[in-house]
Amino acid sequence: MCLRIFSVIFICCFLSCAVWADPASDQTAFKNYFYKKFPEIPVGDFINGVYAIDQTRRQQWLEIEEFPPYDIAIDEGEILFNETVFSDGSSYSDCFVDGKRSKKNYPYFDVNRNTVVTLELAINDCRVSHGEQPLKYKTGDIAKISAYLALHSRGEIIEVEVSGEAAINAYEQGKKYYYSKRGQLNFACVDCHVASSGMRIRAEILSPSLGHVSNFPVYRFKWGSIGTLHRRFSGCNSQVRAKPLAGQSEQYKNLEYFLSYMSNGLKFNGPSTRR
Amino acid sequence: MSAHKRLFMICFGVGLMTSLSAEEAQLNFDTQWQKAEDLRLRAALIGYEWRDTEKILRRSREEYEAGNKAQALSLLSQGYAQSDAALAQATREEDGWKRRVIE
Repeated sequence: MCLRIFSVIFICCFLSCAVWADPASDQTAFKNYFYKKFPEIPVGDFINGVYAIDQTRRQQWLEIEEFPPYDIAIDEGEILFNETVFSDGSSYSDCFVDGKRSKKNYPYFDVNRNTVVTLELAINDCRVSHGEQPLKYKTGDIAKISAYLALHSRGEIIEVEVSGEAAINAYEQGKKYYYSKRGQLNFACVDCHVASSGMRIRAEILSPSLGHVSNFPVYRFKWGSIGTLHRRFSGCNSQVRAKPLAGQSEQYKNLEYFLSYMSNGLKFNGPSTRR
Repeated sequence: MSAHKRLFMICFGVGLMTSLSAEEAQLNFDTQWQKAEDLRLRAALIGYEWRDTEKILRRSREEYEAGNKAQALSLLSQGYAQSDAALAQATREEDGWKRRVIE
């Protein structure tokens, strides 16, 4: 009897460990999956998404990058960031000091607020703390400021830290969101961007999740404008007929946290263009 | 709720409404519509609402008010079924997601 109870407890522990693995082993398994699936892609090239897989599209993209459509957004973002004076006389520079303007510092888990802080959230936090109205989260000025900051973070390494119980909980929530099916079409992020990555969906090729966060904000030809990562999350939700969540909702922030951690070690190369 | 049970409820609702007075039918539609709306809100609260459910239920209300009762009931049953399925999906995924984790 004792042996049976022990066996049941052992099996339960084993199964729960398999799912609730620590973030570091999740990351290793995640990366190894893509390295194995796309052995021909150099590790550092995963930041280029679908352009790392398909050579014809890569050529088109490289030509577009010679005169990139996000240039205007960067210029406008620079003006917004450096020349905006808040009603109390301060500016963005007062909030983003000591390298805080670099993308490599985001997202991070703020223990005091018990939430994930993304770059876009930090931009709006800065505005609100100086008496300004927050910007819309998915597109417009916030994406332009983010594009300007992303440009200056190019080449920096993604190094998101997940430590402490609360941070791990946020990470686990992001992980759960990533792997959960939702919407009328019953799809999870993993269905398209892991199992089916590299495969065609109508005329498009599905990009691998590894490196997904590196190039945002992006100018998408479908949008005709620049947009944030959370705008893209909304698009994915909508495509599987799930109701998109609000930009900077807890779920999207946690998802960004999880995905960023999965891409640790890769370089930022935003802003970029995508179809 | 099983598909048979739901179908029965819808047929029962349609049957009841055709045999009721206008006021009773309105009351019955409102009750059924509110039930579907409550389910939708429950799914929304846990982040599992489907994209078109709110739109479908809103159109159902509009059709009813315009006097297109058959169309209104058809949309109402669609909205109800979507909300119900979204909640079932949420329940299923409470543990179901674990099977997809890369190991």
